[in-house]
Amino acid sequence: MSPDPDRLLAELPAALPLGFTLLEVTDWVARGRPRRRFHALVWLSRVIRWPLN
Amino acid sequence: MTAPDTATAFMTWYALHHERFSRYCRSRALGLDSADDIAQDAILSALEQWDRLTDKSRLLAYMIGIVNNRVRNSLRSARVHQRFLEERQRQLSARLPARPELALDLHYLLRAIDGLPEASREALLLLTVSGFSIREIAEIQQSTEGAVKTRVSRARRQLRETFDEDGRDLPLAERLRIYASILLL
Repeated sequence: MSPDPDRLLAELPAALPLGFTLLEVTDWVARGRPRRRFHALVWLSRVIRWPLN
Repeated sequence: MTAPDTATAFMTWYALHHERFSRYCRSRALGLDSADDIAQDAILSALEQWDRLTDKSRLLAYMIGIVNNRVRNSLRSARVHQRFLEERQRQLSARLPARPELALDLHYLLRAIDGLPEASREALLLLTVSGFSIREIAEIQQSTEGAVKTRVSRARRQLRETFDEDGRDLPLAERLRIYASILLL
């Protein structure tokens, strides 16, 4: 039998695993965005891997 | 570090939207390694706008827009996209161990939702997965309630048409074969 998309849409929210918690968000907000530092090795490895993407 | 007053005010606002926003993130980024990073980026970007924006109701649309853009950028690579599809299917199967057929149908549904026009997909997920009302979605999309209803209705029709393509009475093995051929396209 062909699946009914409306029934599946109703099932979808419960089937999605729980994501990040409010406690985690509170922690992210308290810390703010980490300052980005320049790491030459990280930059170089990204450049090398870029053609593989 | 965020100023304590700003953090408190932001969290008071955000807590009201947390569950619905996290559901939207899950529906868009489930299967991506960077799913939590995407949510964190959206939330911290909204936090940075907190003092600048007088109309706080625009922040939710701002966060949802960031999630959409980050997911789209992450999936540009074919290799990442393929891994994302496999991981999403694996996570749905792990979530529904006793109902493998439903897990597969939901995976197929999400795959079909991926193919919807962006505004329709956003409206459909905000309504059915997050649980926002039509009026709230109209505010998020800066649109009218009528336009949102049309988007949702078109999205449902498109999903129905996609699903009707295999509208025969099929055994699971046959459906698996069809889904696999679709997913490998």
